[in-house]
Amino acid sequence: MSEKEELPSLKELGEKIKKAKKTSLDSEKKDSAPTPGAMHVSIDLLAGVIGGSFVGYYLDKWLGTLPLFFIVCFFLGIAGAVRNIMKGIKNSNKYGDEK
Amino acid sequence: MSEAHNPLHQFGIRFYTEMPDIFGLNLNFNNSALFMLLSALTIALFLTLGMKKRALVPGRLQGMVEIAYELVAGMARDNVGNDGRKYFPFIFTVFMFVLTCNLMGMMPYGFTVTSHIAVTFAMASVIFIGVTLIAIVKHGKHFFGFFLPHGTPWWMAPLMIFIELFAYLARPISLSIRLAANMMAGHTMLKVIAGFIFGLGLLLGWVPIALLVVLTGFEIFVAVLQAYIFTVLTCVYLNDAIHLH
Repeated sequence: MSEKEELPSLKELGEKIKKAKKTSLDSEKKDSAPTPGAMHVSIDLLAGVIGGSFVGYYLDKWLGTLPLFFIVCFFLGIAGAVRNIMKGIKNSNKYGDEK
Repeated sequence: MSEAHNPLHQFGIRFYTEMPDIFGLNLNFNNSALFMLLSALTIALFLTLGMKKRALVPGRLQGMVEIAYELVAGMARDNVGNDGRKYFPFIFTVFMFVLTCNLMGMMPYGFTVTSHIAVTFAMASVIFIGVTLIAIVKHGKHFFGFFLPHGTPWWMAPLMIFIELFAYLARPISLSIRLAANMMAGHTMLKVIAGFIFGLGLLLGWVPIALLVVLTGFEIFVAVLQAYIFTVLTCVYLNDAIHLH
């Protein structure tokens, strides 16, 4: 007798738990990217320059226009690096404010 | 200066077998491959032995395994969210492999696999290509909107696309250089300071020894920290791929 009465309530409870779990897991996500220090920023800058130079040099080698794309991609690489650094600092500022 | 005193000698690749090249590739077994194999075996042993008992109240070894699991699980949840659960096995593998390789390098006579940019760049490019494929499969055409930030004036759009493209391309390079440079710098510094001990002799030699003890502890900290940063950045890139802004 009592088992029959309990069954639907258990099902409801299970659904409630599922719902609560889902919302708690969704809300727990937060941006906690590592705070960029001096090393972090300098390596970002280095990577941008190296990446840009490589792409530019091999584009030139392929197309036979040696100084053109090398110079253009070198500066684009620097701009991309600065963009990465800006993003990193913005992220850490946001994280710092929430703290 | 003899070769053994060269601080960079520890990063040399030594081949153990002498096979002819296969399709122009040198596939001989070297010390880097040996230590990668050792790291993989250590991870397998650590995880299987640690979880063998499956005790409700964990012992020491099981506690260590659980701490590693919880750390990576928390990292994946914080940085990627609920959608990142699918990729947890990969993230955990990356973390354990980088961590064990870094710590293997701190062993006497050890070789630091992650001090070679060839190794770290291979790992970073696998992550980069995988993350890009996930983004393209998940978002299709919308993925290319990632290269145009919101609120860009129309006359800036052609330039911004290229700048964002290069910022995206710089990711695997910065990921690999960060790990390799940190590991290599630390180990070179340890060797240089160890060289001072013999140079200064009995009278003053204890000063660099004291410094070396502190630096060895610091290097172990850096090994763990760099494995953590490598994994967190993997999570951040994965988050960008899954959520696109």
